[in-house]
Amino acid sequence: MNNTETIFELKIDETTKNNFKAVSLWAKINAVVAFISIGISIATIILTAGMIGADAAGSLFGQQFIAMSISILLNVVLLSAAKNIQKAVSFTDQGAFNKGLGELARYLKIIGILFIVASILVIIIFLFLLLVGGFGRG
Amino acid sequence: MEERENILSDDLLIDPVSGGYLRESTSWSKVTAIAGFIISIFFFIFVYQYISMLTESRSVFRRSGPSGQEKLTAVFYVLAGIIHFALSFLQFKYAGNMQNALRNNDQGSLIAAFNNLKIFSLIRMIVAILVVIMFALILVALMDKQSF
Repeated sequence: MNNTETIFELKIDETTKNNFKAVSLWAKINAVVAFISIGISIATIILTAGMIGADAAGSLFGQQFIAMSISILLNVVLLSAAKNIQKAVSFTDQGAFNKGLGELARYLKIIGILFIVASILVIIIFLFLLLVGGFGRG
Repeated sequence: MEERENILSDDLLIDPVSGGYLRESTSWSKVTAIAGFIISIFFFIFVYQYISMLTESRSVFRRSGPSGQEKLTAVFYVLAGIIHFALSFLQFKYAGNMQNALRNNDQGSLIAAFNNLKIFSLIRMIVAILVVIMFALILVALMDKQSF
């Protein structure tokens, strides 16, 4: 109980509340737009199937499936964080605030892991291109 | 007495639970930002390579210059790299300010951190909307192609 009192010096003032309202609204829009984007991707694959054949489209869908699953997971977490933070700011609900920040931390953790994987892949591609002479020869 | 009043206040507070989550988000934001910087640097190297390839092919094939589409692609890649770098920078600043706020109980840094997060979310939202518009245009073009 004692250590809870020292950290209470930080509070969410009006400026931060307004920032939180904007962050949660934009995060919500971001998540909804991402869901629309997934829907469009699926529609594009279905339409492409007519041109490239069902087998090739199936393989394309297989490749996209992992990316779509990660995107859905990420945006469900983001949406949940945004909803909880919005609720917390509107009704001064400490429980929802904590839950929202927890979801935000989870979202940033997933993004962090994805970025680490992406940067490793970029470095590997760069090294590969250096080795095969893909750079500097046009 | 003062602390007791604070605990019973109606304001939202950074309590140990939310403080823990903010610490976690700070460390992950820093990791993401550093990885983002690395990706941006390599991205710029790839873009530089792409532009020099265009210039080289221009001199080899004695063309008047890169086509409009090639120029547009190069500009698109440069813009994407700049936006990616800016997002990583904002995330890094958010992490730094939040770390300072939590370590020193600095209200100013807390406000600055959430301001960084606000700008970060705004840019992310704009990029997401632009990407979805681009996807929708591709879908419309495909549908158009299928109808003919």
